[in-house]
Amino acid sequence: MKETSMKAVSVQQILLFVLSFVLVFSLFCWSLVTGATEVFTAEQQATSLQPLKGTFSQSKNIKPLKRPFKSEGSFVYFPNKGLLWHTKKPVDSLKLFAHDGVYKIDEQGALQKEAQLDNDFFLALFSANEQKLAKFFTTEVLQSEGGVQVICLALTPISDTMRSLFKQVNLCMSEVNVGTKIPNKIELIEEKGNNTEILLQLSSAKVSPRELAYFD
Amino acid sequence: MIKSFIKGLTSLLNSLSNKSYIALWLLMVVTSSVILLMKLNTTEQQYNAGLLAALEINLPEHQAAIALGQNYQNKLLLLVGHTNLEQAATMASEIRARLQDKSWLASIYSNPLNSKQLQQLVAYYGSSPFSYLANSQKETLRTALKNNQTQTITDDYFSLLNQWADPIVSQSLEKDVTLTLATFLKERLLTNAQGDTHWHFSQQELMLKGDDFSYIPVFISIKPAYVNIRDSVAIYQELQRIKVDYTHPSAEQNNASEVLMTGMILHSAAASLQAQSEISLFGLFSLVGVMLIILLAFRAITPLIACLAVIGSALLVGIVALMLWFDSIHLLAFVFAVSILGIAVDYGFHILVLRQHTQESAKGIRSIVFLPLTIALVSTIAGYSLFFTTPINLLHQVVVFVGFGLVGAYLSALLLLPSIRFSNMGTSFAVLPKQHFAYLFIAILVFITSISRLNFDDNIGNLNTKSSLLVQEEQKVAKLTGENVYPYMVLITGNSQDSLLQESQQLTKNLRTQGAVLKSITDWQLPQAEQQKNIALVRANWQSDHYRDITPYLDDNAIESALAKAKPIALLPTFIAQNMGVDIQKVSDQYWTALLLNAPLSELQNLSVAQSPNASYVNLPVALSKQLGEVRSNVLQVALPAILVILVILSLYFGFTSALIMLLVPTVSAGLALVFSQLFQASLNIFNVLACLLIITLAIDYVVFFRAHGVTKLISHTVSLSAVSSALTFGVMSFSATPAVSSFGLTLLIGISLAWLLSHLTPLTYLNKL
Repeated sequence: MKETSMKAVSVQQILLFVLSFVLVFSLFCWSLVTGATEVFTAEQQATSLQPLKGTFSQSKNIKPLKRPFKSEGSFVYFPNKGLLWHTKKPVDSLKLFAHDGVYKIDEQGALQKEAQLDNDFFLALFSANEQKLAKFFTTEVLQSEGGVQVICLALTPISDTMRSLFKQVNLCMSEVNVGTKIPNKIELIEEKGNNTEILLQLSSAKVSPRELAYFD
Repeated sequence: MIKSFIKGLTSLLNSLSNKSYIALWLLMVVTSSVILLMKLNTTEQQYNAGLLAALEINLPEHQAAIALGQNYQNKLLLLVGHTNLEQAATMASEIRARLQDKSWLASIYSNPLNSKQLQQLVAYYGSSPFSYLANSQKETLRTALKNNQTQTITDDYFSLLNQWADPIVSQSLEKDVTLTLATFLKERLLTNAQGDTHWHFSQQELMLKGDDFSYIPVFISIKPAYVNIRDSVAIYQELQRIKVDYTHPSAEQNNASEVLMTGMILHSAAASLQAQSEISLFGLFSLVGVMLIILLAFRAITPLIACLAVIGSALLVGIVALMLWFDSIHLLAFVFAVSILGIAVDYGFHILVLRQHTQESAKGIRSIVFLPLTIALVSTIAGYSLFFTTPINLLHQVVVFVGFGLVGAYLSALLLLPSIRFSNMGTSFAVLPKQHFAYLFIAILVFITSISRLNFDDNIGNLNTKSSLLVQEEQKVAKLTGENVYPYMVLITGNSQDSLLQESQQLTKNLRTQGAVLKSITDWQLPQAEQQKNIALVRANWQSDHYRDITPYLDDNAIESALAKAKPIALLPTFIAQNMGVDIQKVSDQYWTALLLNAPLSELQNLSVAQSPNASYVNLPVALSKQLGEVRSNVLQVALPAILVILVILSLYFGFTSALIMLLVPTVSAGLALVFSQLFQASLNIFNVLACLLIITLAIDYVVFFRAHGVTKLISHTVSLSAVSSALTFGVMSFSATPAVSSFGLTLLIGISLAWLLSHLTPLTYLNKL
């Protein structure tokens, strides 16, 4: 009888131990997993908020013009802050697309607000963020160009004003870091048949302090 | 002679049978009705509202200022506000869709870059794109010629071409590949529109940022044919419904929204609605009041029906005369004309009281009342006719309505009422207090001592009625846009459109250099010579090969062939006026335009205007207020001879002393009415003074009755009935929301009451013994 009760106690103790072990182990694993996620998200966010630098080439096919108008230059995209667009050829011009408007930057580095449409939509295109894009466009996924890393979207403007400007915008983007997408091709198709194709390429060149200063 | 003429007329009237009287009355009513129906069927009567429409504008510069301001008549601006800009844009889009199919709509848009307006501008200026140049481009082209360099021209072209989303560039490219037109339109539409104002683009939308809301504008133009009272009221009501549907107060802070409205047409509509409501309300109140007085006085239905026939005839004849006389009728004329109810019914009272209290035959009654009724009619019409001497159109219409209406009432009363039979005694309105000259003396004394304290203010703004809600919205919109809803005007005149444009261009340049923010026709229309100069500037640069970096992109000889076709564009100020609100008008064989300034002129700017030979700063409200002030001062000069004429007429019948005392009663009553009106109003105006003229003419009747028939209960009863009905119909006007009407009504109410009192207190019947 005693032996039986002793056996019963030890079985209970073993069960209790096993349960405690499973619980503690699960908690440990969960904390490890979540900790890793937190570390991963922070790292990803830090990467995605870093300014990105690259080059572009733009080709405009405008019906009344005899030949396409081509231009090229460099850009700095600072997520959540804006886009610095430096056209080098055929004309040298520097513009900052900020959330509160478009600024022309003169040779002395002074910012002059331009009286024109502020091209908020262009910042949305650069963000390649579906939520931001949805403010301006309805989205349709196109067949991928250049492999699985490249996703192409056909964007149709929502507002009357945007519709009067563009019939459709095609946006192709690729993932540069985990969770960070950047457009590598933007095609703006106008109602009258004119179109603008912009090809973008990230470069390894570092963003200069002077360039960064424009975002402040 | 007068006496024998009156006798002759009386005997002629008495020679007719009762049936003939009714036939004559029916003839008058049927003829008037037929004329009215024919008039209503053949032409649509035009109506107007607002005090400016009530005035007669004589000076050409004032007529020009009003004509140039007409551009604002058919423009409306709605600001659709929401805490969230996208929601505001959606709401604005819904409102545009809701109004899109309205028959009165000429154009509607929120974004000038996405509108028919831009297409129309591209089409107009695209016919010769080098005729108009942006100021910046003109400078670039001049510098390029001077320094023989092409870089800036090339850079400007490529920069413009390089943009991603520019509707002006994409819409104008087909008309002009050199982008000269795009540069011009961009400068005029964007830089000028922005200026010192608060407009800017956000998320592709033209918008304004307020403290709580982001606002999307809805610019509305109304077809000119619909800028009339009836349609503007319908438009106003439609917009009010939209306002109600889209205004959600801050119950849920994140979902709050509002719609603000501005536009001159809204004021006309609000004034019209106010006038219409007052016409019905005052008309109904006066009619019910007068009917009650009749019922009280006679306690029978027959006299009530008879009086209503007299009032109805007066209204019918008055309306017919008004419609035949004037092409456009001011609605306030009907508000003033409500007074006809009170005066017309007096004629009925005089006859019916005699019928009630005497056993006279119809002929006998007609003989007794003919003289006093005729004097009453002539004196009232004479009094009202003095309004013809004022430059106030509205009052001319009141004279015609009341004048002819009273003739209708007079004839109806004389033809119909003496034959009516009823036996009820009714309630007496007679009051016979102890009479003494001391009362008149005291009244004169009070008047003389108080006259110096009278305070007049002729500011036209104080006479007008403006919806306080609309004014508040205008102030809010002005604060948001940084622009005045009603701009300050510098008027310029010229013998030809070209010379006018030349002077305007120079003055615009000078004033802008001195810091003025203004809209000028010369931003959109240039003299032929100036357009030719612009073409020459482009040609000179092309000949100097300054377009060489651009030409590889263009078709062969594109610039050359465009230059070959280039010529000054024919002026089309009406088109510009429709789109931009700046205009040229022809008034008194001269061409006129106005520079529309955002603020009053500074001293330096005033000097520039003074130096410009054909320019002048016009402040229409101040000019019209001054004009009203002069009219007020001139009323005495008009009234004095009129009073002397009445004095002569009365003297012929009653003798000079009697006539003088008889005249003192209404004159002192009128003067005291002004003194007492001052107690209720901050300041007196021309309408208080004009009311005095009427008090004199109405109160003359009271003293004539007492003087002619003696101070008896019967005459007191008649005079009291007449005074109560007049005081009621004029008194009701003092509740009007329009200060012009309420001032008029208040002074008349006080004046008639005082005249009734003084006519009872002054011993007029003893005058024979004096």
